[in-house]
Amino acid sequence: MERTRLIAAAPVRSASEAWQVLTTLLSDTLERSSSIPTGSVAAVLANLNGLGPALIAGGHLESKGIVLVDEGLHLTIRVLTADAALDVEENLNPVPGGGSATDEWTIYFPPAGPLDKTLRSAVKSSPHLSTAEPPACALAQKSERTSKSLIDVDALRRLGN
Amino acid sequence: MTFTSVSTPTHTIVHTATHLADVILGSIADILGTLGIDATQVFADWDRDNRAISEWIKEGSLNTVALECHQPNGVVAPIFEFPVSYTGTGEGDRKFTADRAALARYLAKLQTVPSGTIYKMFCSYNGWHSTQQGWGPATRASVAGMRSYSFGTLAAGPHASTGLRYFTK
Repeated sequence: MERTRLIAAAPVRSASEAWQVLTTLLSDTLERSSSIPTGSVAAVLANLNGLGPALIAGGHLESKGIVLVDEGLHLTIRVLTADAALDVEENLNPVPGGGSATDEWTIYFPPAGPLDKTLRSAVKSSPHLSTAEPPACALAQKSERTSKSLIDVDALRRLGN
Repeated sequence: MTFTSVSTPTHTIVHTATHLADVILGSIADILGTLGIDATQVFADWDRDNRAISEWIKEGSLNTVALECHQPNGVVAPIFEFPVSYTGTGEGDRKFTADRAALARYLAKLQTVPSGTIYKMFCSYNGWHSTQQGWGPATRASVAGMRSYSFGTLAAGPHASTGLRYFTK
């Protein structure tokens, strides 16, 4: 199921604090799963410390937001600033579906304009981070993985011969 | 006797300072990204510098944040200034704005700088200001003889606003 969560940045809280809130929301969601070690999500996002707040302060997570994708999870998180931040009704509870998350979770970052090059370089630090276009929904990623990992197309072709 | 009171939404100078500090630092990161200048140190010092700029706006002491681009041949250009203006006790109905779309159009017109160009960040003050970690006395490059362009208001809150000026050779 596709879900969206909103986080308020400045003037409600600084970009650094908003980045921490985002990290906590992702950690609380994913680390409910027994497949994902405690602290591992924050460790991945720590590769973006400094850059994460810059993305927020520059308004680069405002319209498209980041997208967390895993089997059964398709979560968009947008971080709003200025007047829009004052109207945000935050729900910072763990997102349903996190309990069954796998170790193949991926966070997709939107285009970040002048920070694109830096972001593309930073996401190389972890296979859980990407600047590619996110799959349209969680089911799509699941079927894509299934076709990659479980079905040997060549073997099927040989059976047919 | 029963006393009643009505709460009204109030935005303090803290909100304005948080907003402007974020917009200024976010714009600096975007400017450096546009120019292709390594911004690693901006990201590394983000929390410290954000805290300092925010504190100085809160106390009303911050006059201008300046970003200087030092080219390998010794030329200092372009230079960007973020002047901060204060509105006294605050304008109750004033909104929090950030004109990022206009900034993006502005950045698209910037001239590139040579490889190896580094940046330096400065703050100037309106008289007394508190001491902030990582910041100390320094001398800015002169903008005399440089062409100046004004962006106008970049961001505003009830108690203060910031603009952007651009100086080039």
